[in-house]
Amino acid sequence: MVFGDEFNKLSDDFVDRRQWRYDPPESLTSVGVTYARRVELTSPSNPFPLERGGVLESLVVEYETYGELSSDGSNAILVTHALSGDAHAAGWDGEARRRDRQWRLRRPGWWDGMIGPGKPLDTNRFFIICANVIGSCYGTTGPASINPATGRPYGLRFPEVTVGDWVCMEATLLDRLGIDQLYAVCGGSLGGQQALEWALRFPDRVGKCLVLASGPKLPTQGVGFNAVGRHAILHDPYFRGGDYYGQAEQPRNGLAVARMLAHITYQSGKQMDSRFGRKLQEESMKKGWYEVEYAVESYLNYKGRAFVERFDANSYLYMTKAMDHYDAAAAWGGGDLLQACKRVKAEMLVAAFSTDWLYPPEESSLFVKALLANRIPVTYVKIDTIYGHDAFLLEVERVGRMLRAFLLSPMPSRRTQAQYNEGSL
Amino acid sequence: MMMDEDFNKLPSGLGEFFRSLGVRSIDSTFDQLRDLANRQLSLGSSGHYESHAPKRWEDSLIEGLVKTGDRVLDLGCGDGELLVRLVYRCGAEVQGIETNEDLVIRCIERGVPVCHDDLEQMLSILPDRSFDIAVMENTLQTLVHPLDALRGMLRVARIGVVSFPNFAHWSVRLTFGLGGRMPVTSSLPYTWYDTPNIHLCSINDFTDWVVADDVEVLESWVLVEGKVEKFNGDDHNKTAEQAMFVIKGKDSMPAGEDR
Repeated sequence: MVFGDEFNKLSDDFVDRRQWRYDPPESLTSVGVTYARRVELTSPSNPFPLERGGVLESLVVEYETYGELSSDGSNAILVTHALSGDAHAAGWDGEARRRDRQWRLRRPGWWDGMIGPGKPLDTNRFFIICANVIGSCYGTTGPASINPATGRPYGLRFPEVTVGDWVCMEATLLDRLGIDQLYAVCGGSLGGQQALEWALRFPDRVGKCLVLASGPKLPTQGVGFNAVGRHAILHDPYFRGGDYYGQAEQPRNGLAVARMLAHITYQSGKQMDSRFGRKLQEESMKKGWYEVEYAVESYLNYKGRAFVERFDANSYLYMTKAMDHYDAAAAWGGGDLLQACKRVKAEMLVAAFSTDWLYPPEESSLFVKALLANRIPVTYVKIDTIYGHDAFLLEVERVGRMLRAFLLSPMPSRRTQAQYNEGSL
Repeated sequence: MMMDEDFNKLPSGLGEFFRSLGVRSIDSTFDQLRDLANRQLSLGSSGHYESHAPKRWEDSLIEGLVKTGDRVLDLGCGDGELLVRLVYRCGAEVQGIETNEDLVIRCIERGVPVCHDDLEQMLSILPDRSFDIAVMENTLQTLVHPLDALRGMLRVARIGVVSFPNFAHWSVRLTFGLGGRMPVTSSLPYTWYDTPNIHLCSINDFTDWVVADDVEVLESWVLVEGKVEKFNGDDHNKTAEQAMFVIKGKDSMPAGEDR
């Protein structure tokens, strides 16, 4: 948070913010202006090992924190971001202009509706950490970073990363911050996979695990969608095997197509119907019969273009691959989800959305079944929504109500058991 | 007076309270009442839940069935009232299933693990013997396939507890038989057009099923004019407003063996 002149100067950056429904930085329910921090987790003698082989000689992680850590360190919540997310989960980026992230001037962090004073992830109560994952392009080491061995950007020579690597990275970061035990870990989609991996990999470090619109593996349909997206990028004439950094021409079209397709999968047919219907775009925009005709086309075009401004094509490849590869059952149960779920000690919340294509509720209920079969109490919420996969970002009120209730709820199932064992009840 | 002396030994306020109730120190139950009051007062924070009387007559009976460490599944758990009681008073591990989103949120707020799903669908995916006790309070009559649910219940849990309104209660017979209208009673408070009850039955109907399906009834209670009685035979089919059966599948393992 900044006050006085510096604050006013910054506020000028957010000049058109009031036309949005977002909380302005001076709002009492906003975390205000935020500054990301960066930390190097490796040292020359201590490189970061990766699951699929290889090491990162240098790993810098960008992360943001909101709220204050309690003296006993018991109020830390790790928020894990999804495919196109970043460490900037809430508030307004104070360095958006300086670090050339113009899109952040127009909108707050990706989960600003959830994180803030008095919001479901209440920064008055909790200390919230969000870190950008390895391979992404928002400050953490990724394919666009300089390879210390060659002095040039990694490109596709960047080692393959997995959800497990990200969780290990987050754990190392928490060690650095002096946080041993997480009150909760919470994420949606690819972030949900990380949250689940946390509960499996470090069962003793997680109190509550919130998995939204996600599951132990990406169903086949989702793998197919990701494959199309990667195909578009890999076959863009300007992709040049990933070495397009510094070139005049970038694989913009490939990345835009990937995003357009992905954007369709994040929504539901119903939502598109109600939002666009068969509304036509204005005639003046049209050059030929094959040009943009329907409002939905123009919207997707816009989404694709906007994404290209803020994302790196190589990162898209690495992130979607990690998403495809993630398989909790294979990693922790030799292919048996029931066996894998034995490891879970956290209180689980699984939320599925009725119109989600990528992680449909049927998949989630299989996961819930596996947890219940292991006698793990689980809270499973199936939210009836038209927003599809993105509902975890868009259904702020309903999802928020649920998150707030779950985060603040007592943990009787575990606590009383412990008390009984101690004989105090 | 001796009475005052005894009352003076009570914690402050309790003497006045007893006097206002008309309790005297020479009453035969005085010692019990005093001990009970002292226990309540010394419970501190956990007494919070003690101070709530159960909303439903079945709840206290179910409490008596649950032992420490039992896994209890509540099918149609509502706002989690029963499960919270079982957790704090009996030390049970609980799991609820509820379809109403608002009630699910209430459960979450209370810390009751709850699945927001159709209970018939949920029952079909739950593995065998994953619970000790499955409870279905006043829900049976709202299900599309009640028998499948009952059988599913006996499959996933060691014993099942099921309660339902008795459709053969005299008030029901009276309003339908003589009044000629769909019955609206205290146990069946809905009109014909807004009732969730689609498969109502009488106690006799239920016991018929118990015999036909070769299910063992461990215990059974009925609610007669607001009082809980042990179920005994045909007369209760007329006089009982509600009934609760503790049932067990014949082929299921003896209690406690597979724990």
